[in-house]
Amino acid sequence: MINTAQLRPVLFAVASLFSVSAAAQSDQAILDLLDQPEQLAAGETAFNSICASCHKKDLSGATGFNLKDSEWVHGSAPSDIYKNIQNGFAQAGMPAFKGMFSDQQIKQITAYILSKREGWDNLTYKVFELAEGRARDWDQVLMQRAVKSGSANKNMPDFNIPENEEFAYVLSGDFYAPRDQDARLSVHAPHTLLEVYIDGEKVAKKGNAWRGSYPLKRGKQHLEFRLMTPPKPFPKYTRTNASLIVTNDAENIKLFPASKRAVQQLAGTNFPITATNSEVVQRKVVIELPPYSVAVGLPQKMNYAFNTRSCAIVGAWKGDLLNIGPNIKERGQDGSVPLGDWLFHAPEQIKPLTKDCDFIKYTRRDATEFEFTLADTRLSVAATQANNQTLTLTYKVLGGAKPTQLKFALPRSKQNKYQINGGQLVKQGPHTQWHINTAQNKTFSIQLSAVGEL
Amino acid sequence: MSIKSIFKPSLFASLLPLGLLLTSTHSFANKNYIPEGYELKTVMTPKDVPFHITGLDSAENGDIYVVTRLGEVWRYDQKWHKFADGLHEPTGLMVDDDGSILVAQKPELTRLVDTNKDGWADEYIQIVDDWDFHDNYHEFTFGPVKDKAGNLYGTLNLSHGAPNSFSLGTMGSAGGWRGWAFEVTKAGEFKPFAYGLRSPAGIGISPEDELFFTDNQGDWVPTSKMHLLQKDKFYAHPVSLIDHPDWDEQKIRNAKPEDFAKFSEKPVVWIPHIEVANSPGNPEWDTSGGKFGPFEGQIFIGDQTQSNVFRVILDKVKGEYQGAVINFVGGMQSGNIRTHIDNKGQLWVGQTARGWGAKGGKPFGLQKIVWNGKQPFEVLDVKLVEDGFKLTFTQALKASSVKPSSFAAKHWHYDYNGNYGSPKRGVTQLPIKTAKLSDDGKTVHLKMSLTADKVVQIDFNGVKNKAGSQASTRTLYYTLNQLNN
Repeated sequence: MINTAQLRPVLFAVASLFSVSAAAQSDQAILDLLDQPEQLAAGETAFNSICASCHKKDLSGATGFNLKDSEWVHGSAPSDIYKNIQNGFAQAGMPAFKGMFSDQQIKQITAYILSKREGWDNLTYKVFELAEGRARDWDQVLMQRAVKSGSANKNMPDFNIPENEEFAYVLSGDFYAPRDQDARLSVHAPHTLLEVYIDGEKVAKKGNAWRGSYPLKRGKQHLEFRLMTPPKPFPKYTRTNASLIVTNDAENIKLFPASKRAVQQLAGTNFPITATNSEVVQRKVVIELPPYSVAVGLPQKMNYAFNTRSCAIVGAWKGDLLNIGPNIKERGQDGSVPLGDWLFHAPEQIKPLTKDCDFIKYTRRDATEFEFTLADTRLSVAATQANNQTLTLTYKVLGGAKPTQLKFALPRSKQNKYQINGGQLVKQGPHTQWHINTAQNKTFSIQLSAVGEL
Repeated sequence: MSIKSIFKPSLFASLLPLGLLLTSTHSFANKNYIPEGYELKTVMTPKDVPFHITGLDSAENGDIYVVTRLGEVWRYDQKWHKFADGLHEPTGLMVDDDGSILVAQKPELTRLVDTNKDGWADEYIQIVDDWDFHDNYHEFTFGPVKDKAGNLYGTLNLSHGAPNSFSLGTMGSAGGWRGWAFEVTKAGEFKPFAYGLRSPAGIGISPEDELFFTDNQGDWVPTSKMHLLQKDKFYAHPVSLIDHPDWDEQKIRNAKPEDFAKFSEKPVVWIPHIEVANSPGNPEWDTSGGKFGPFEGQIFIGDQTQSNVFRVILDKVKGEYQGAVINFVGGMQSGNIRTHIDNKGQLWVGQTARGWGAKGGKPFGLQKIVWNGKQPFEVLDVKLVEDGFKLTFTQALKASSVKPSSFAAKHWHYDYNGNYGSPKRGVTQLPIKTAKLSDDGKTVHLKMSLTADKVVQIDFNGVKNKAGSQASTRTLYYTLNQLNN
């Protein structure tokens, strides 16, 4: 006899087979775009033009939801996202975009959103108890029955779940790392025993007993993270509530949290400083810039930094000035992050070829102006902008014992080209110098231009 | 000793992984206490602005200027006005005689000038930047203060975890005068001034033009302390020697604590950990001429961890300063790092707790302590005499309460080494032999046997004034470097 209770789901599955398969096809059509840079670029442009105003340019969410984390309130399949952009959520304030964007554009936007996906998905966990004094051996531990297991809440590992003081904890799931840069999984869980497997391969740790990191693959991968407490008594400062953070390859920019503890740790690290009507100036620790740098942001979205020790322009970037959040959260151990794309940064710089730099002051009236001497010549430098692709730095000779020849090294960068007004460019092997005779040039300038799609 | 009792959260003191430091709680200093006649007032800070005040001074007209860790300078005249921004985590501010504002940023000592008088600084002038800053979070610059000749002084924090730094285990230096005090002459010349500093979060200058600084408990600093700051002297932390011409890394590593102790200055006061302070700020003298109550000439210091303000009572014995600390006001809202008494006799307290935590719980703020004219009943003064101490109170005492059993005393000392803080060593009760009241009824002569190089704790729980009241705080801690005989 057929049990009708068993039959019903089968019938339901058959009935919905056609729509499932249609969705799968449309999912695949969108996923195919992920490997096509021009399609993603088109999606990014469309996203930035409309969607970013509610979901933010970095997709981290504002009025609208965060679109790069693992929480998908209205479905996470590509076809779900596609459909939601098409139809919107009128009551929640999101209009239907099918009239505004073509089908292809919505697919591109969906692909772009998917390309920005970060963190865990389909994450499960298992907790094993460790008998006191037992050897710390993963093969033995994994033979045991887990005392707790299940799907992780919101795809975010919580290392407070084990109730025993001594435990082993295994996380397993899909993991999305940045597609556009190399990244590392940075772990802070002093004295615990860690193992990391990516797509089934064990990955070597860089670091020490206090802190370590593991290289991630770009994009989607399968990640297994294992943590075991050390034998008791725990060494001083043991921390079992692990902080997992994805960083850039150089480990000086924290990109996103990958455990509950890290979420708390990174909360409040968003404190952007942007120039709206007038220039903004910040002295902070800045990623890629040397100490003693003063960063200046212009309202037309170009930025530069003057260094008070070398009198050099140590960096220029297009976009907004800085997110100083990491440098003003807790003890401020992390550097501020430029909110845009570099034209160049130290060691490539506009650098006076003299060690005799003496910074005097900067003034903040209309434009920010730095005053300094190079040897005996007193100079100022300030920036102006004709459009959002260029930045002109104008030097003025304010005084000096006698006319002299000033020399600057110029930056080598594929993202920047420059044009001088006053003086000459002199080739020195692969380097270019800028020579200025102060008798002939009371002012001289260099225009920096952002090159290509940054 | 447990981790809890050694490692206390403290803004310029501590360096261990953050989570560990924030677990500390101690019931002792959570109490609110304030002398009679004093009121604690909270000043609203600008809405939605992180307002961690680490520098505070007043102008001649009474306006208050503060600088915040975000890097902004604000003026307060019952309303807030932003004066400057974009500075690099400043931890000191001074209003100069010409009205310009000096700020101690991590990389630079800077003069801010409003040349067109529109209320906004338009010139950021470098005074000096002759020390090295390596982008390390712990490399604070404290100060400045100015002496009567017009020279400026400040102090430079050691680093923690800076790349390529020299360290004996905890705080370090990547060179460039870390752990030194500096002078900037009136002509603008930078001069290294003294060394051996650790986290010298507060510098002050007395009405007699003498410099003092506080340092925070940690390695080579067994408990927080205040020193007289004098040229070319060594204040106990060996890491700073890396910049001294007579020393090098090997020589420092080969030396033993007793070698350093031989030429290390003794503090004017040891400040007992937790009981009084974990991370003291700047010493501020009451020169209000009585507007702030009866404690004219005494020093007021805030503590960042304990959220309190304590007094320092100096005593000069054989020409050298030593003295006592005693709690003044407790239970404040955040971490007290800056104190300043304005021309109305109000004690302003700048506050921050970011990164290190404070008992008060609020992340930042501004409070002031004002005196309403009512005479409090407190210890006014303590002097070491040949056979004990003389304690003077602000009011006449009830004679029957003055007896040896109304007092208790004990002493101890600290270890000097690279460990992070020291427990009290050799704690010994000191019997009170006699307690004799003076003719005016205000001074008690306590006779007891004393030993040099001890901290002496004196409790006076049984002492009452004529109305039968007790003082608001009834324990003082006297640093007995030398006997008065």
